[in-house]
Amino acid sequence: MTLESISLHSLLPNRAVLAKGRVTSIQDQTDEDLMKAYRDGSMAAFEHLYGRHKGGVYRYFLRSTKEQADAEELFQDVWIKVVNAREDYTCSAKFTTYLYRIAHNRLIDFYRHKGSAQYALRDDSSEGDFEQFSDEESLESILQIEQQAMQVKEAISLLPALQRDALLLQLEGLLSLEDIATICDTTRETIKSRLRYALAKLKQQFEGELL
Amino acid sequence: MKSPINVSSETMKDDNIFKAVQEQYRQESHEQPSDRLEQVIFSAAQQSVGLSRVQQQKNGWVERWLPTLKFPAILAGASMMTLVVAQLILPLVQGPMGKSVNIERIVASPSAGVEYVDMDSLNSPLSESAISVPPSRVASGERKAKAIELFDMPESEVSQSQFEKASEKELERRVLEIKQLAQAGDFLSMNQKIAELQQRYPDFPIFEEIRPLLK
Repeated sequence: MTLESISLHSLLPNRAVLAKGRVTSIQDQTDEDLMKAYRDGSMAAFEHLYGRHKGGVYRYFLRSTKEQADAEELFQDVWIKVVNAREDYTCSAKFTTYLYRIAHNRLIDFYRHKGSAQYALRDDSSEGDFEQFSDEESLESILQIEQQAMQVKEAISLLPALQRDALLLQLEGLLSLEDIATICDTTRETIKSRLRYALAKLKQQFEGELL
Repeated sequence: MKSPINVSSETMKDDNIFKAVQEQYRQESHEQPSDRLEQVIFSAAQQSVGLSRVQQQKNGWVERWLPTLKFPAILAGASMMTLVVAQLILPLVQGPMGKSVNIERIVASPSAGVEYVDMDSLNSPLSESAISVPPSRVASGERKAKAIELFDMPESEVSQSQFEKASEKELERRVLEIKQLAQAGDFLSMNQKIAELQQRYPDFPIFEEIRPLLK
């Protein structure tokens, strides 16, 4: 089994593909069906859809911004965008891809607004260089993790932005490599590379603690 | 407290690392947005749906009434179109050559027999050739004047007067013919004409008329 074959969709709760004409409960409906139902005026569909994705989107922002206030602001912005785009929603892609694309773009805007030097490192050519992980921040982070015994989620928060973004999209959004590549406007191989380096770094961080 | 990942580091492959990270991450990550945020978002979502419903109700009114109003609207449209065609387009399309003869009367004339008189042709300053009546059937100026007079009279009077005049002229012609035969001494023919006249005009005193000529 390879990294790309780990389809996190298999870990999803039972999202049955609906046969046409079959009456199903709201729990059995896909995200796309729920969004279409909300577009047609069903508030219950929106509540259910929100319930499915609120945790993932919120934690995506929380790990990325490291500040609860910022995460809440971004989280609210994303859902308000979904609400405002309700009438124009067309099922051209998976809802999760649609949702996390909004979230990803909002996060980029946030970084730009904050003038984040971390996100300014967004250069695909440097991502393949393993030595990138030994930059000052990463080394410091590793030491910090080891010294303070930080948990995995905190270690993820300290990953370089691009790697963290790709890893969180997979962990929280349960998205495939293709979907993450679509959201990040890059290639599948680039995303695969980012994930590999992110995992390598996590492994490095926890190596001394592994059983 | 550290959170070790339960896989062997020596043989760890990417997918195993990922599984381990994922498992560990899921155990630790349970943060949720606050209820206040949820209320704000639900409120916005509800408002969006509500606004949309108001819009749908407005659209629904149109959709409900449109089929009902369609037939009267089509009827009114068709009536308007007919009026427009009748009032504006037809006068433009019809030229002087194509115009219809509005009144046509049959006038009995003792000299010309039955004659068709086009009242438009009588009143119009246009030449006779412009009117779709054959030249042979176009009445002369005098006849036209007569016809106009006749047209102004009641129909019963027109026919009675016309026939009386015709009959009078016929009588005069016959009497004149008999007188001429009497003067010429052709009594056989004269008697024959007298018999014919008496047959047609039994009350006419023909003998009193010719008696001075026979003496």
